[in-house]
Amino acid sequence: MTPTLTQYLVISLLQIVVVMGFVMTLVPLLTFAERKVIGYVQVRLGATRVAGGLWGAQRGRTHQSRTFTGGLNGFMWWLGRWPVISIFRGLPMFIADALKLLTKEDIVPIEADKAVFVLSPALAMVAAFTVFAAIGFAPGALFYFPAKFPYLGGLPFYGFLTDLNVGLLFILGVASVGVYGIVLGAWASNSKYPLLGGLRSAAQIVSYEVPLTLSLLVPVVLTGSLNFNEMSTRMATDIPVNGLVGIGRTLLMFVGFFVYTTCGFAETNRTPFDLAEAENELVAGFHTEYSGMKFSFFFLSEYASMITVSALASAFFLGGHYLLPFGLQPTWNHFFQNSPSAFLAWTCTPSILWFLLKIFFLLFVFLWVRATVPRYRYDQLMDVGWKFLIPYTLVMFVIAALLRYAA
Amino acid sequence: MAITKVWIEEGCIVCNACEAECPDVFHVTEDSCHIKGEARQDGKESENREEKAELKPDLQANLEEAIIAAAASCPVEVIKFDQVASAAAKPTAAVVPVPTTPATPIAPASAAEAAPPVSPLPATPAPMPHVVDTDIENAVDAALGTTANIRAAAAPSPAAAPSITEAAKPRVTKVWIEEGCIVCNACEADSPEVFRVTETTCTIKAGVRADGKESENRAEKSGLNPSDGERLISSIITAAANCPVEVIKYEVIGEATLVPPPVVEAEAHAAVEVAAGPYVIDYKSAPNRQVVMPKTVPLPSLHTYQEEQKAAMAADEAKWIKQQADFETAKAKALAEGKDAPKPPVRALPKKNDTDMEFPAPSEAKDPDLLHLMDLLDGKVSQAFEQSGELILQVHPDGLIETLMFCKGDASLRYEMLADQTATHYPAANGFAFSVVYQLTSISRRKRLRIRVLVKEGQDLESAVEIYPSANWMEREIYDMFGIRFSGHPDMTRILCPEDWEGYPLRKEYPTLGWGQRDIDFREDRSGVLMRMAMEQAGNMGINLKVPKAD
Amino acid sequence: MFKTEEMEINLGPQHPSTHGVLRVKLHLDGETITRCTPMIGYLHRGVEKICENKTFFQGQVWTDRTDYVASVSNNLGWAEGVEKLFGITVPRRAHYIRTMLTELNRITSHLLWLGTHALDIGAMTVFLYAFREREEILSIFEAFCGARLTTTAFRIGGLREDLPPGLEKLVRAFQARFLDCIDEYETLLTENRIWKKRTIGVALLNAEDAIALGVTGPVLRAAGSNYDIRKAFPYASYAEMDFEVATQTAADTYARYLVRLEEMRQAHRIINQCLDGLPEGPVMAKLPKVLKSEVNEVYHAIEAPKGELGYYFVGEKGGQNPYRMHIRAPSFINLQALSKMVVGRLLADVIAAIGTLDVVLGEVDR
Repeated sequence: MTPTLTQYLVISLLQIVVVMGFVMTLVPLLTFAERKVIGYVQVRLGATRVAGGLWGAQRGRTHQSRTFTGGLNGFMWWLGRWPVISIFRGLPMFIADALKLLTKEDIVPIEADKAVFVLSPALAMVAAFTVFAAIGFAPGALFYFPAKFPYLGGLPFYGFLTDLNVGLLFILGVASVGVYGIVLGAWASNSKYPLLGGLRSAAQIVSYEVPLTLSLLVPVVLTGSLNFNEMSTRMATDIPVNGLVGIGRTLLMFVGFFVYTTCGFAETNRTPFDLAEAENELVAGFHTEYSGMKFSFFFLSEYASMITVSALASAFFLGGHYLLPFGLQPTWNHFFQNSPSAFLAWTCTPSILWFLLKIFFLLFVFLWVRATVPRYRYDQLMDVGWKFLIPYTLVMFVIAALLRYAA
Repeated sequence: MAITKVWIEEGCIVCNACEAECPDVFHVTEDSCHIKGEARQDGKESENREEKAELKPDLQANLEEAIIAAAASCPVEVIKFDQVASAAAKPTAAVVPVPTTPATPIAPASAAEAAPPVSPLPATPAPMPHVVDTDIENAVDAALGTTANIRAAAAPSPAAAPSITEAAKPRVTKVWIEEGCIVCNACEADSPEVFRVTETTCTIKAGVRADGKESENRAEKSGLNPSDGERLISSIITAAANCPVEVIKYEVIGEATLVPPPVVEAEAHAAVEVAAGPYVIDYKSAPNRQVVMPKTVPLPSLHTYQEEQKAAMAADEAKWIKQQADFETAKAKALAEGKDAPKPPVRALPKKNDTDMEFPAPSEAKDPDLLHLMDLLDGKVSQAFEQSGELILQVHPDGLIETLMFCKGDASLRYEMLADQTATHYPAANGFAFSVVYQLTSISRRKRLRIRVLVKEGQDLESAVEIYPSANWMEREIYDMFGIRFSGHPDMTRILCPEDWEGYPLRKEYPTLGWGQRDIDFREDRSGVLMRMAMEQAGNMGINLKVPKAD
Repeated sequence: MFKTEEMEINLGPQHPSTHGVLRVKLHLDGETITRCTPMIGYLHRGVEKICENKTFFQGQVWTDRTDYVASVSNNLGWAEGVEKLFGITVPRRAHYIRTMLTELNRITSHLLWLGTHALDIGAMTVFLYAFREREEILSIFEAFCGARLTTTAFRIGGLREDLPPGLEKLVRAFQARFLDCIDEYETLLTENRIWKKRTIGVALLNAEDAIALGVTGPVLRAAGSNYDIRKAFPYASYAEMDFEVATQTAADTYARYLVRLEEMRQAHRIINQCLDGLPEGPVMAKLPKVLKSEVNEVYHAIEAPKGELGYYFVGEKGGQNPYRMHIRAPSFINLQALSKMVVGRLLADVIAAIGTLDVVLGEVDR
């Protein structure tokens, strides 16, 4: 059943609302997760125990008082009685965070180039969020509207916005626009620390764009496609690991995953590559002069980029919507496809669940790394990029071409 | 002897010292110190300044020592008392608050009648028996000469002069180690021929012992060879004195002509000079020296200080002798006239000299470094002396750079580091206004030296930056704080204060109170009157203060 | 057509990694430092002037506020300096307790250094791990004297009071687990590739330059010299303690890191010896209530966590206050070496160099 243009538009709008809603919820949740994960890694006392009030400061003994504020706190404490759920204490904090960012005074330096200063956070934000247009969260239709549903009955609701046939190209192209937001914002601040941060960021992203793209060329060569969903599916299920080609491919994906993730860390300005905003050297890097909502745009775009990078890594290297990473899924399917156990049979089919779990895991890795390693120095970062990653990805690219030829 | 009256002169600073010493008599209140009612015959409690009421008879004798101690401990010396001889006179020694106090504080009247007045100067120790078996502690003290005794010897005291000449030379007959040795190596460092420190204990070497065995000699107490005992006497005494747990015991004969043992500093330094490489010290070859606590340095001049001390002592002594003589004549006169004998004079109490605290006097330069520098600098050194274990060399400003160059460059000095440099302001001094000191450290020789220069107001010093780069900031700080300029300094600007700061804060005339000082206690200012006055005052001075918001 | 010029940039006085109000004026060619001028004085309170107007007993309180992360060391320097001035002999038990507390304080100071230095370089976790142990030592100080940071722990002539009951147990409990904690920090940093890249060969200062510039403490010892005042001019009860002087020869930031870690281990050793060999006896010498000085001057230096901490006292006749008091602050002298360390290097190395010098601005400015 083909939708009419208006039906198509309505469904697309709904899809946009759902996907953007998901991302916009995930980003603040990620800040909450960051606080919690790092809190637990670093034995922080506040972050691991806080209950968190939504409406103002805590008052009195929170779990007993039945005030408006205390009620929520009491609820969070009540939640905390169970071991696993206890980590969600303090969850309302992220709403408070968002409110704080929204209501803060918005300062524009007198000497700043005002138009660029205002536009650049928007540029960073738009670029970071547009990328999600080409990312396929769910394989095929997420669900079908029931037949009796008014106007849309029987139509499919996809887990992605578009099924672009040059999806990967779109993603890389739009994501690299984000750096303009950073560099322009830094320049427009007309201040020295942001300038240094912006220059660092420009050099870094230009350097790491190359190995990042080269490492993504490996799946492109192996699958011969640029469509996100197709690449993801074919990387996961194409060739079983039984011949030399299959084993080589698995190894390549394994190595490629680490190379890509490393570049991804650099692309998103995360530790150990967070030179552009190295707080201990450049105060706050490129966003030193930004405050309030403009700052939060940069902030949100960084976290959105993290989600993008995680999504790409899990789609192309970790098996996407399938259970097993590194192209091991065909072998699994071979054994369990016709298994009498419904559960095992289900593990052989694609699902949005696996994809989201992999994204969450990678996001956790981002936070984990942040809590563990120090920061590279500027010249060392360049060394890692140009002397190590680029030759490595070039070799991988050649191997991928050979494998493609052999297959 | 007893104390009949005690009173407090004006000027009490309410320091509680007297109450701590003698709580039965003194009571320190908020603003003054009182003599307690229960100690007084009239039963009132006051300062007793006008009425001068007598103490209760039973307390007069009992609390004598405590009252004397309280009077001595009074920092402003306002506690006065009348002292009379009582029928049951105690021996003099009992009056001395602390046994080792060098001076006898009170000359007892009864003793004064019978014998000539006791010299106020440090008493010489009682002549010692020839063989000291029983009281070893005393022997060690006497042989070593406590600080007090050294001082006594230095002072022009007639009592210190007599000495017993012995036919036999002094020698150590026996040495043994008591239990409790902590194997610290100190004795072996001082006297390697006698002591050997093993893993667990310290032994007396076989070579010096008559019986030829090597052990701690604790049980057998065998004697030393006479020749060794004579030759090694000073090192054994030094080792015993330096033993941190004091387990080295010895017996000695013929103590009388003993000289105080030589200061071991020089030997220790000689041992230290074996260094493994540049700036690396071999701590193992040079055992830890005991920490030498104090001796002091006089300013502005060592000799002036010594002269002053001498003159003060002599004046004190002369006054006392005169008092005694006056008393003798008055007594003779009274006896001749058949009247009652007048009150015997009471000697003003010397400062309480606590056992734990003494001001060490400076000594003339003996250290090889100082002597060497004095040779090198010939005439540019104005003073060189040692105090508190520190070496001080005062040079003429013209010779400063030369001195520092010698200190750094001379092969036998090698003071590599300028650890500290600072100045002191002496507004009242004659001929100079500041002293600038350079603390030099020789890392390879483990030694410190202080160079001192006296500078006139407005006089420039030469900068030491060329020789010691570390002087850079320190000289800037001196300029900032005192206004002494250093010629040849690469950047003679203020360092801690802002560039436009007026005045030099560490000069003595620089006020500690001033602009912005809050002299109103706003907690008491409920009505806000004081605040308004302050605002008005500030307004008159051209300062615009904001009114703080009321909470 | 193009004009190149050096950029002048102010690092501080408000900056996350200058550990206070240090201002460093940098001239940058790209990110390379061509000129570096530390500018200090933002925290100048005139402690020396204030102490000239306080008695010997009162002045000690101000020493807490110079190097506020190592206040016990400062107290020791003051107390021993005054004792040297007056010739006071301190009981042996007091010396032992002083030594123990000073070494505990050395650990807190090094822990704070470790945490902030690692934080500057980007390793965030060590900071909180180090503060966990520091907290424990601060509670020991609290148990001893009631204060955690501004301790005023000692009195002239000894200690105000003996160790409170139970304190030894606290210290022993801390001692029991502290070595494992150091190993924990080491697992995070010592073999970490990025940490090594950031610290090896960075901020070099060889022994000759260090001595010429008066630099002491771990910075000098990491350059191959084993000059340690605890051994060279023993004070308190260090002459009786068995410990090694930690040295390294590489003279870079990594070597200083290793030296400080080893110093913490040696401090642990000394504390154990103090606890085991704690002698009985009084803890306070007999002193008059009011100290009046003679005309004299002394310089007493101790090995503070940051280097040679010297107190220079001048007494006047009958004075109850020091006529002049000067603090030879190790941070102040060591900071002179900063420009030598960083010129020609990158901006990020300035941060590492400030961290490795371990300056505390309260002490630099006094």
